[in-house]
Amino acid sequence: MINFRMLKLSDLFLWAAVGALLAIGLAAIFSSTYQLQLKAGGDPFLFVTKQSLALLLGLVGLGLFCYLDYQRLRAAAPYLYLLVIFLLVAILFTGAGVSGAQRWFQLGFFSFQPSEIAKLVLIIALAAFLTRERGIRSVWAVGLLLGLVGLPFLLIFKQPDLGTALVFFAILLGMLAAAETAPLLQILLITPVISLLLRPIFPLWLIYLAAVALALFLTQARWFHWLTVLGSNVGVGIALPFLWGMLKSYQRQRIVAFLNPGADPLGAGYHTLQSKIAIGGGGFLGKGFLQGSQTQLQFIPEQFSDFIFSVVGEEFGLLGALLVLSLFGLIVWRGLVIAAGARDSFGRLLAYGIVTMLVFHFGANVGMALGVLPVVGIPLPFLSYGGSSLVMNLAGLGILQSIAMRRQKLIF
Amino acid sequence: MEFNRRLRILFGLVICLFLVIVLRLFWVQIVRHAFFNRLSLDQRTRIITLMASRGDIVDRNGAVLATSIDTYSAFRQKPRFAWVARRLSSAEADKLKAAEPGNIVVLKEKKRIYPKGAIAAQLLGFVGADNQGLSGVEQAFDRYLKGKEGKVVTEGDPEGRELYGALREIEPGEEGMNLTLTIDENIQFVAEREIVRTIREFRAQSGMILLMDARNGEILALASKPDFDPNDYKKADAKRWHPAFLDPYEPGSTFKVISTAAGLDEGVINPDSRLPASDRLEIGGRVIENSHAIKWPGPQISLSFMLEQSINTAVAQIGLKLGPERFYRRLKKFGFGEPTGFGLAGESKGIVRYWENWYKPDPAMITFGQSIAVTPLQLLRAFSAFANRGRLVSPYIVKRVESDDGNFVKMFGAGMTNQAVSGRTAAEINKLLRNVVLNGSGRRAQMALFTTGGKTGTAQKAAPGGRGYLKGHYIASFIGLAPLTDPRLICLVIVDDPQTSIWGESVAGPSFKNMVEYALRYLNVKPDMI
Repeated sequence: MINFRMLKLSDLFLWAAVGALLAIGLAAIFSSTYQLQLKAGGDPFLFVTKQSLALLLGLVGLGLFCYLDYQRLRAAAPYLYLLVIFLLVAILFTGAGVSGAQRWFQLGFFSFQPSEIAKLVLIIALAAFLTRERGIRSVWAVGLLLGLVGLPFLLIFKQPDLGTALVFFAILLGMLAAAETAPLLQILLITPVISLLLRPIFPLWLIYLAAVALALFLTQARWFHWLTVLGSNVGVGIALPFLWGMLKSYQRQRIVAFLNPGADPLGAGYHTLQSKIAIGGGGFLGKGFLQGSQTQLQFIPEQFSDFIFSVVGEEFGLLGALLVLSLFGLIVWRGLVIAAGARDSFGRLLAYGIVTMLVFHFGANVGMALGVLPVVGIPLPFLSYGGSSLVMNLAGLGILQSIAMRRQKLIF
Repeated sequence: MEFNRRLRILFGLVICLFLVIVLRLFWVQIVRHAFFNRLSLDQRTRIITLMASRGDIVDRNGAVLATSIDTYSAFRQKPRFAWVARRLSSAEADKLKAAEPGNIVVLKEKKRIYPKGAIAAQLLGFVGADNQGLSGVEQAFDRYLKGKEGKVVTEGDPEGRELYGALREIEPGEEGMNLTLTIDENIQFVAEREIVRTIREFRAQSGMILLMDARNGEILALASKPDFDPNDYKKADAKRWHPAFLDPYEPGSTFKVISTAAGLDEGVINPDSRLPASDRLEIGGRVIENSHAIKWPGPQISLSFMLEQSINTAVAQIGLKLGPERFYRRLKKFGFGEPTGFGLAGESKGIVRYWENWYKPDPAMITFGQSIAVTPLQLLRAFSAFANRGRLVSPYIVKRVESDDGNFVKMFGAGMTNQAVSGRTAAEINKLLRNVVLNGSGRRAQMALFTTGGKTGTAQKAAPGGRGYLKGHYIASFIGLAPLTDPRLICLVIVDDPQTSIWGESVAGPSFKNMVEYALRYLNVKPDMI
């Protein structure tokens, strides 16, 4: 089914941008790990080798998703979704713990993180659901939608993995914005976020609720809008203290540290400060490959995973950081072009969901590395060390290309 | 199309996000670059200062009194830099290193050693843990002795491990300069033995012997006991660290010599003057008496008899004849009230009140060394006038400072050379001092082969901090010159609070004799006793 003509329809910019990011990523992983490995007497290329193996696996997946007509995913969506829920439940009982969190399946010589797969599957499921529902027009649909996202969200939140759980929320918001949903529904889904932020100041939150009610009144909203909008806002307000209680203490510390990073430079604010020192020390041209003192001296623990951007910032400077930024910009631009040109609304939503996911990952990760967002474990797509994330992102790329290649009716 | 309109809005939002990131990157990497670079440098480098090799202190003949030896100091790298132990032997350091291989680093460090132990301890002083002179010559000449510290800069990760393996020394440091003292180790040794013996014999609190070359001011011995072992100075009572010869005391009867010289030079008396004999004198409500009953030879006595018998009531007459102003100016000419600048920090200038502030009895009291305080070194300097035809020679303790390679040499010499009295007066005083030794209270200072002249002092101890005197507590002293025909040495012996005898004659006299006799022989001075 796939042939050279179809491949020619794939997006060349996208291939190039992802290829360049992968190369930069491998270089940064090597730079931030070889000293550590040498000191421990290990193979300096160990991390690069493992990442390359994941890359090979990812390329196989990429090929598979390119070859596969993305339309098949629509039919497979419920099964994929159930499979992921099963995996997420299973991992709560069997998963290998890393610093108090159960995120990994240990499979012989490699381990994988079902929450990464869950991100992609959620996009597929949401695309299928929103296409079927043609926007959300009933309380029943709203409930179903919240359940669809809420179930994996809670399961991952329970692991606990705050970062991934937030990704789910972002994907939901982004895809709703793209879907042909009523504008009011978008308000409905944004107002609870503001509620979340205002809830700690209780009187302010009450005033805010009154303002939302007034807006509903003025727009002559229908009864189910009243129910859903106010219901979700009040629900969030009631749930927040419980959610805060559910957070692990290190997560709470990180959020507090984000709000006041200088308070405890050796504690929770340590990562942010060290990351800023690394990036700031890089200056315009950077300190040079393998020359970054922050990176080489391991001032940031596990820099090669979530803080890989600080390696780029220190060793390749502003130029390197802007290059990475531009490559992501290119991916987002091409992704949106593919979404706009998709043959059907399922493809459009799918493409849009993947772009949203990439943008959110990129923004949250770089924002964290630059100290403008709290430290939550969100990897930088295509750069961060981590097989599951790489394979999942490459699969996402495959789906994007699959949509691009099938944007026209092919003439055989 | 509706979807594309939304897409544009969303793409706009993405552009905004990217713009925020670009601005933030610009802020962190360009505007704040220097700041973060500084932080990065600070947190990975550690500067360890290495003590420089402190210069040696040697006596006039090159005998080593203080030197620096190699020791080994160990520090731990993990979890953060910390000294484990400093100044160990190489074997001890190796043992530490073996206990935690890879984590303990051993550096060479210098340690101050005083190979002769407690000799001249108050004079030499000692050195603190970071190569800073804390007392004595070590403190006063610290800037020459200490050299320049070496610096080792290491680069380490947050756990303190080294980055590039070996330590990198960036500043090797400079060795300190060597100091040559005017002290002679052998004379110093004898002086200390003599003063320790005297303190024991008379159960005194403390004592000192100062011996100066009368011709050029070089201090040959400066013994002050009890003192301490500078190798282990912390063990000793901190009071013993202080060089006692820097402090003022009431000189007592030894000062009668100065008063007599002042009177002679001012012309208020002459060598043939007679002073009235009286057992009691009252001036301004103050009663002056003698320390012992005098067998008066007649109604009037000679200057010589006054000094031989150390008669307060007689010498007081000279002070009254001089009056406060003349007496004060003469005291200043002798250098009282001015530190000698002999080389140590913290030297007192003594207590000589300005004449307008004198009380009525003061001109009389000062003649026999009360109501005035001088340092032992000032008294030595004043007496040097009698050895040098009236010209003062200032004492000093450091002869020479020189770098190891000989590229830097600084010589020191006698300071102020003021004419205190005329040569004739000086000669007259020498005669009188000779008489004191021959006929008077100084008989115990007589030597077999050398002529000597001197004066005893038995002063009541001034009460600390206040007026009046401590009853039953005395300072016995003796100061004198030898050989008198061509004075070579001036020696001052001070014994604080002797119990078994209080008299300068019996307490300090024999010490003076033993000290000076030894030194003259040791220095191969020609005997002049005919």
